[in-house]
Amino acid sequence: MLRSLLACCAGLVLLAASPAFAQRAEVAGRVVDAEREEPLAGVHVTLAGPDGTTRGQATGRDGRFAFAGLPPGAYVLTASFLGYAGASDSLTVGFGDRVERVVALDPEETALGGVTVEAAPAVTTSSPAGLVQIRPADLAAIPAPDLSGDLLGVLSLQPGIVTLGDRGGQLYVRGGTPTENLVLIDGMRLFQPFHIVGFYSAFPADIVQQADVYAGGFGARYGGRISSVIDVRARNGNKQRFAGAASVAPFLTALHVEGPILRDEVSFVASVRESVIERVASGLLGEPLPYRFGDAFAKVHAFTGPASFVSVTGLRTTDEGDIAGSNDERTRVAWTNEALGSRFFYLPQTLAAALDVTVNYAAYRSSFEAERAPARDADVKSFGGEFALAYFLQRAEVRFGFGAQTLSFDYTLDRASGRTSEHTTEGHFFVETDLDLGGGLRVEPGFRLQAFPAQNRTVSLEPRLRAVWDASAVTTLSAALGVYRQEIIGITDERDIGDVFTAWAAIPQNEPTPRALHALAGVEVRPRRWLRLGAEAYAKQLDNMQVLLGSRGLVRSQGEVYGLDLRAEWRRAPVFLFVGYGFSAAYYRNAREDYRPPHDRRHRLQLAAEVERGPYRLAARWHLAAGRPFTRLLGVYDDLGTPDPGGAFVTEPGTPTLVTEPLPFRGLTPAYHRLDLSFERDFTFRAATLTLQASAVNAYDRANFFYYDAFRADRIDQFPLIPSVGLRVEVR
Amino acid sequence: MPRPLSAPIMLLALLLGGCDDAFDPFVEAPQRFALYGFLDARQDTQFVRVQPVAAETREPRLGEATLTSTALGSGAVRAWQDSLVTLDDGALGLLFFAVFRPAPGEVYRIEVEGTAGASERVEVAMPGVPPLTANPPVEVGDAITQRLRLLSEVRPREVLVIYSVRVEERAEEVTVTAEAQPIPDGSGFDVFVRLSSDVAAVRAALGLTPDDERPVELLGLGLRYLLVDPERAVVEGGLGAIGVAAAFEGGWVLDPETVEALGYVDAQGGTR
Repeated sequence: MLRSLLACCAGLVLLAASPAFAQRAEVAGRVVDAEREEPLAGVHVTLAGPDGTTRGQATGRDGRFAFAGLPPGAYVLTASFLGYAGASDSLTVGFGDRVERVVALDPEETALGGVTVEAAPAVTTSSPAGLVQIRPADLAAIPAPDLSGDLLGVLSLQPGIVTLGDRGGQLYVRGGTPTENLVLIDGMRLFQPFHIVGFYSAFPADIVQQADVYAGGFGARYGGRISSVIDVRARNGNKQRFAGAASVAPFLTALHVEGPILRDEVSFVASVRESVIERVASGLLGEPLPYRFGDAFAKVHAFTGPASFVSVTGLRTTDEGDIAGSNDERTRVAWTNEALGSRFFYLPQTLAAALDVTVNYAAYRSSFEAERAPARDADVKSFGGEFALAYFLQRAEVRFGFGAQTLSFDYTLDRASGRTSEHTTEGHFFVETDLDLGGGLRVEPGFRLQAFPAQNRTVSLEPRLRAVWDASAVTTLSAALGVYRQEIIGITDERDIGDVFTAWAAIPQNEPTPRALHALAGVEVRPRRWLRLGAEAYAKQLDNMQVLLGSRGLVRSQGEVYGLDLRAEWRRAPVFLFVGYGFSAAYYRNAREDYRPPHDRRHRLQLAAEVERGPYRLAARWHLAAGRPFTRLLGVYDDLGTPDPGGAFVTEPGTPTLVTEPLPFRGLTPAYHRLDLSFERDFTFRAATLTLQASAVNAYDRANFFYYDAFRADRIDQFPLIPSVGLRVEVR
Repeated sequence: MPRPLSAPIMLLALLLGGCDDAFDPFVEAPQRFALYGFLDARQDTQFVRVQPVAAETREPRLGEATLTSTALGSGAVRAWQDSLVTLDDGALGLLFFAVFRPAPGEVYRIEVEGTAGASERVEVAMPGVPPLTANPPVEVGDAITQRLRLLSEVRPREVLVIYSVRVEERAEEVTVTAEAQPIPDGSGFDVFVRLSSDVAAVRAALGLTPDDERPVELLGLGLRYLLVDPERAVVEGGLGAIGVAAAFEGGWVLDPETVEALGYVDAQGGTR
């Protein structure tokens, strides 16, 4: 079957490259930031032709655009983008010509002089068919307890994304679990890219060029996970001059540097962050916050030709601490991520195509130690790569690719099962097309083949379809449908949120592969240039889920998730307002019981606002979330194990053990709400900007429940009011 | 499945109730107890540790629970005495005890009642005397062995073969250890008695040298063993376990030819 599909795809490509089509002209190229030479995604590019037709496109993830099948003549190419001065160029194409243009857009005064420009609606964060695109400007609008900025701030603002709180570093997307999210940076997989403190991920704002977040319904080029995709594209360093930034705040310190290695050709960017809060919390807050975390990132980018580049990216994160917040190391969880990858990208001069080749290595280690309980630890390593090709046709783009990964797992879950070592391989092939059907309708049909030869499983065929229709100048409708499978699973005890230990493993041989069916539909209305309203409904069917339920081990479960996301965005200088509401209902069931999983927060309401006047910026965010299910307790006792006929049980102390009610997740925690505020003042000098920040996390000191330590009869809350001041120096 | 109006109604309720931050992790349910103990037919006094399942670990109090046992066969009801013991870590534990020897084959219902009326109940079946059958002895070369079959669901421990012997007027019981092997079909256990090998042990126990030609009379053969099951009864929900232990002894008769081949004088059916 695989062979015949490959043949079909090859035939499709050959047909598209037929001589009749090739006699027409092509105009292709990239749009980049003139200062940083980074590709800009989402730029509105138009090509006005001699026949009076104006063709339009938004640039892709690499800043690419391509107009094919053009009649000969004179054209005007224009590009416009939020925060940049527009650019236009006249060009003439002959019969069968292919013209390449690199359009460099100069940043507007926004970044330099503090003058805010009115936003153009086409380029701000949008959400067609489950996709949210996040750019660095979006990250700055979210209040945080430091000035380094982080992708997680914007992620957690999305209505369909749920976190369990300020601690733990777990992200649940539209009813899925954290280990069902595919997280990529420059094509490299990361297994647990979120820090133990819930404000931070492995992605500081300084390294993010763009993040595509698919809350569901993602296309065929993504696979191996059944919930969501967070695809981060890291920035390239400045190829003209050195620049950098350093920030310090009670939560963490951060340093970011970039610059040319070979002027105009090779650059680097590096970022290091290290937590401070574990050292200052007791003095600042009067209570310990024993969380130590940090990350380091580096990327080297080099142009290898007028239309090709190669990059090498490396990332390492470390986390350790006691989720329950005590300082006596009663329980200790730790994890590290390491990833290294390389990417080669090539736009051939003579072919309307783009080649994208990636290789990557990733490792994740986690461990969990608890008082009077066996230690657990787990390692997972993966190595692989992907070869992808995009082919530009007149009104379509065809993308296909194949890749492979090897994965090794090594873990100890409990004393009884001992240590497990597994090794598996994965191969995939995908085809997806981006078809412009006219009338504002674009569809992206595709499919993905996923194979696990080491496990003797049948090749899974996963059809996908995405569609976006600009029904009018102000209304966009979108929908997506897809089948997704996940052959490796992250094993985490769903019952205990204080235990975030995760062991990755292959699906047991005798168990079917977890599968999800996504269906979603949405509408976005832009009644004014500065106002955007959106609604998206979704449903997921989950089959053959492997859920770890304490001593019962992995339990095969089914599930359904239904939800509705509503959002309103106001971007009119000097005010930015965001209101998001998410309703989500998740139901899991196994052979014994039906239940709501612990991340089933039914309602979330997010309000964010930012006002910017000259060098001053005030940001606020209020977050309200319904309670989440938990398994109610009957009490604790000391388990004496098997009684000894010698009478040792008479004086044996035993092991403290929880007794829960027989049916899980019947309780509901109190609602969660929190207000975060930040106030910033910029001082701009000739070559540097100094920013001072005062912020307050949980400004009205709400006692938000997080975790109950039954052995100590101790309620542990989320973060209290945390006042903070921060300083950032940015050198240009 | 969500009903159409449930979302806005629940959101309204959420907004109204959002100020409440109280959290009670416990469900209202009858008091439960964890029970750990042994009914040991070899002992005069029986012990059961009782732990109230509570919201937090705390030291128990005398009088917060009562424990009774009822022998379902005889109908005898016995109230156990509570006491506080110092555990190995210095904390206090609630220990119930009663002076009696459980009867083999009897079923005991153990009930714990809390002062609030809650109760925990578990039924413990003492093992009865298992049927013992002896296969004919087998002679291979100079070795004579015999297989005994014990139809017990509990594996026998501390298995001893008892030789009742007499030299002149001095009678003795000599014990030799043996192994019990499970029968593949799960119906019980086999004990292999090494009759010829045991002769040397018997003579040595009697103080006879190999040259001593005084006759040794075989008065009888017996098998002594212990049946111990530490998890005879598991309390509902895994809240503890009650074990049982009982010692048993059975005998069989060896044919005169084998007795003679072993060098004994057959006196079975005499004093034993």
